[in-house]
Amino acid sequence: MSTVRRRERAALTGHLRFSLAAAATTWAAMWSWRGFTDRSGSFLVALVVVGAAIAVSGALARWRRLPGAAVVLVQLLVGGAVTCQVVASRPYPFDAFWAALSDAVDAANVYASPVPSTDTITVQPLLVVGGFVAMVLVDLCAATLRRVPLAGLPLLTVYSVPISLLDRGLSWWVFAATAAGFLLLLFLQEEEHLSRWGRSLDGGNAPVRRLSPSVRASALGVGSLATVIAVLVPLAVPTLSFSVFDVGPGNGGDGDIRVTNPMLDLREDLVRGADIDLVTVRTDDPAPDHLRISVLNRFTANEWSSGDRDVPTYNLAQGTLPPLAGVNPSVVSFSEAGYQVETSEQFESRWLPTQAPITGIDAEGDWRFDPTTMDFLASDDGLTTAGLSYTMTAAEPTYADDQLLKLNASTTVVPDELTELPDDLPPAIATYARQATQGATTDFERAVLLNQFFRETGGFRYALPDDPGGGVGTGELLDFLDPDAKGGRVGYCEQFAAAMGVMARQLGIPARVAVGFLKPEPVTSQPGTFVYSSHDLHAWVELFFPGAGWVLFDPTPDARTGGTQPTYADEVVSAVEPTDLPSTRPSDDTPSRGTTPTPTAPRERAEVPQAASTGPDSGSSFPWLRLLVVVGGLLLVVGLVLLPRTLRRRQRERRLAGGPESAWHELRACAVDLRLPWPEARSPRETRDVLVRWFGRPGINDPRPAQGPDLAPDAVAALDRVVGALERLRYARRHAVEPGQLRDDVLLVCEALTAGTPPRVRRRAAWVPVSAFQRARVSEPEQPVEGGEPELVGGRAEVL
Amino acid sequence: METTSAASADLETLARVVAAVRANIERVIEGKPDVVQSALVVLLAEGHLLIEDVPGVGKTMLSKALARSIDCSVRRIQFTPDLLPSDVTGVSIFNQNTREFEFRPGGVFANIVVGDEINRASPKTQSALLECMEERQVTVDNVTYELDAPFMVIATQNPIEMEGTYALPEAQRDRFMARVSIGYPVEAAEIAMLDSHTYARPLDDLEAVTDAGEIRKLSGIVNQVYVSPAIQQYVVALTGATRRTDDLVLGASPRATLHLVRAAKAHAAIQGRDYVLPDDVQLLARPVLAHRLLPSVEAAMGGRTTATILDAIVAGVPVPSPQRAAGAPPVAAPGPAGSRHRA
Repeated sequence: MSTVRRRERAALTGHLRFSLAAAATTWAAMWSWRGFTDRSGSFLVALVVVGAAIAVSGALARWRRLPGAAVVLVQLLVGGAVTCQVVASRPYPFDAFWAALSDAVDAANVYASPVPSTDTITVQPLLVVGGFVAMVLVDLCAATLRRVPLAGLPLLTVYSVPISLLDRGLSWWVFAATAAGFLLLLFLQEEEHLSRWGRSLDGGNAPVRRLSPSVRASALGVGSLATVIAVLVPLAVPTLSFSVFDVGPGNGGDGDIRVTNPMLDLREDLVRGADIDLVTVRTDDPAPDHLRISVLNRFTANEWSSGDRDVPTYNLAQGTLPPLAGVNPSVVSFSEAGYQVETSEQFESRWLPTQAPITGIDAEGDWRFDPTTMDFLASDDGLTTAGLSYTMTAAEPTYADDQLLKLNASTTVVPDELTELPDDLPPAIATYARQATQGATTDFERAVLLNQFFRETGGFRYALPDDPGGGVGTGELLDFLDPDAKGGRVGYCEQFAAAMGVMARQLGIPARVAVGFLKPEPVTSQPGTFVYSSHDLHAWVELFFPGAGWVLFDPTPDARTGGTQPTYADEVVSAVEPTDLPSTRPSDDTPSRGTTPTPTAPRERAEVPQAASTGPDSGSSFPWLRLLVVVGGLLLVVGLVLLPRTLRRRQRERRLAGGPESAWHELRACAVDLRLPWPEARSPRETRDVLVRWFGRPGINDPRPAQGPDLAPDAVAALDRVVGALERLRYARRHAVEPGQLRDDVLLVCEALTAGTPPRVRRRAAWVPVSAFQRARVSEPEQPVEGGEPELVGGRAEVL
Repeated sequence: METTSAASADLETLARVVAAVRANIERVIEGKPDVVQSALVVLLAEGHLLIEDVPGVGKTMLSKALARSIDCSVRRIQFTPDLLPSDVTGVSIFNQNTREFEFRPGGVFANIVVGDEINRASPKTQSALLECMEERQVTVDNVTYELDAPFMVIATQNPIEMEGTYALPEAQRDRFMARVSIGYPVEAAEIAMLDSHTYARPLDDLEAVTDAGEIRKLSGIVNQVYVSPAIQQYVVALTGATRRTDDLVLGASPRATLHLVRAAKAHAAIQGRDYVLPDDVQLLARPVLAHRLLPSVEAAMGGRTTATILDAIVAGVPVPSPQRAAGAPPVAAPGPAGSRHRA
């Protein structure tokens, strides 16, 4: 008895191990989804609970030897309840759940990844439900169906969703973890197969045999090698059109352009004597400013550069552009302004000057944009901005400054290139950064303090360099920041932007340097027309905050920028009494970005509470229609599941009430349902000889039942009676069998046939009786007149 | 149950007699129930039996045992190359006293005629048996003499020796209802044979357990066994398939069809049934049909014998059910078995 119990316990452990491995593998793959939201932790934690529920319920159901469909049902019920609890704090899909899911779908449609997480906007429910579905699918393939290779498909789907939706590579270690889990599942399955080989001589005293350590070590070695090769080989293959893993500067494929450093041009233009008009814009924006040419993503020890860009052919500068990344309407709202741009013949740029951000553009030529930076570059050789004319729609941001100040940066939602610093960066730069931002409680406050450090508090002075070759490498930056060094704290826009970018990254804030024009001169003769000239060329910084997106900071002192600053950059930051400070501050008389709220801004912001207030209202009325649809759907599913069973039962009753031909037909249906061979067009006796071989001992529930005519002598006798009756009916001159007389015999034979098959086959025969769908009509000859010839019926029935 | 009480009684009588004869024969021929069964089937179906096997396996013993079990006239003709037809049929001899020709019956005038080593006689003598076997009469000097029923020829032949033998012509082979081979006994049966045959002569101890009159009556019972249209179609389909297959140059004759049905009826009666089953036909197809068929050169080169070809045909022709029998196309056996054997 104890052996049985020990074996049961070992079986349960085996099921649990397998299920948990499947859930853990799916969970590891779900890490690739963390780029969809700025708070990846919460949905991953939720999925731990959901995964555990699915794994444990599935393992218990399989341990109780429930059929596969029932296992999935149990998992759907338990896992679904946990998912609802996590998403809507109720264990069943009540209104709140659907509302949360619907909001999440809306959020996913409206906002680009990473979607910010606020009280009203979140995609977490969608991610949790997606994870739940993936976990059930993987568990179904791997654990329930024991087809681990098949489980690779849902895993691959989970892994490839972010590749297709997010514009950046995935972490190699997520892939490695998923692959390791997948290999573990394969190992567990194969181990199970191997341990079933042969029969142990100790009569079941060692119910679960383990593989030897050397076999396990070999398996581990093969698995590890396979994973490493899978990670490394794509990096070495140059023909891939995109780099799958973001482990370094990979070589892009189609449409990839190596960008030369725009900084050099900027520096040369600035020191040039003559001021040449370069770009003329006509706009309905009363005060256009920063016109961006390009963005510098990568900081190496020597310079800021634009890094490697991937500009696919479909990213043409024509029409509407993708939604902005990581913006939250409660933090920032946008108003649109149209621009018509004309560049002069002298302005030969491989980059297209645009406002940042913009929502639409229409430019002639093969201009393409990089979706991560939204700057535009020429992909045709010889294509420049000289004499170009194009239109664009700028999205003017208006920030809720009090919200901005609460923001913290996140380095996980942007490509690594935007947070990377050289390893040998002098620690003094970090010290300057910390000193400058002392007292700040959030990353945004740090950014503001850093900006003010350059503009006001740090004692910096603006001066154009004498030597146009002066760089922004770490050495120069250190000199620039050191108040005691020769030429310390004196510099021009490029040095300010470069220094602030490096220091922001040092503080953990994703940063990039933007190059463009500072502020245009209005053309007095033509209202609404402005001219950017070569002396307006400028560099500034953009910092990324989830919810606000890329926020512009211009660290160059007022001497150059003329004192115009976005309001948020002028915030007084105090860690001691932040509540005493006004959340906004009146701006200078020169209107600047963000200070003039556009009519659309308040409306958009007002929509949020409206949406929130409709929630409880719609929740008060009971969703009868939805309930009806759900119940109807459930009934339909139950009906479809029960249909074959019901049809089969009715057929059986009809046949059991008939004569020998009907009884014979019922026997055939029984064999067909049990997937047993039924010799077609053979004599009843030949068929009988085949059937008795499959008889099992009735009442024995064995996974591998013994078979043979000796096990069920009663059934053999019953089958002989049926065969005899059928033979007399078919071949004798007279026959007399009352309808229904063979009922008990047929049932006995069917019982013996069923007893000879494994439980799995029996369940399949019960739930999916294939004979129910085979069209076969039975014609019983009518009772003949005594002594007369049997009346034969037309050949409509199958020959059995 | 389904038969009338009279028919049941007849079948019981038949079963009793057959059991007695079988037991009698098996005292001599040990461990060969199938061969004994075939011999009894042929006896009751009023056919003739050809026993073909190597020397010394008990061919003559079987025919003698069968003959002795029935209280009837038995003649044994040893076929030799110098045997004349008149030795078989009989001859008219001038009687000096009565000054008339007097018919002296040959070896064939008996209820059971044992023709030993029939293939040693000349074809002329062999063909003297033809009329007797089929028409159960002998005509000598324009006088026809009827043979008494039952009349059964049990012929033996040795397939090994070719020197000085004359293979039975197809026409004559066709007149035998069945051909059986006895085969070597199994080890246990051979040991038992040593015991029984070294200390005594069991054949001499055999006593008749029935007589010619009863056999005649039993044959009448066999004739009453019912053959349903489905079975008739099945038999025709089987013989038809032998004629269509490419593996055989000579298929089964209509006489073979007739013999097969009669044998099946006898077998059914022995089994206590008054109706024939497809299984009866299948069981008897080989002994009844195989010796009449001639395999094609291709089949012979491919190592296929008439027996294996026949088995394939039996496995390939579908067994009809009553519904099928009443349907429009009876059995359109397209010779599937034959085509299956095509190289």
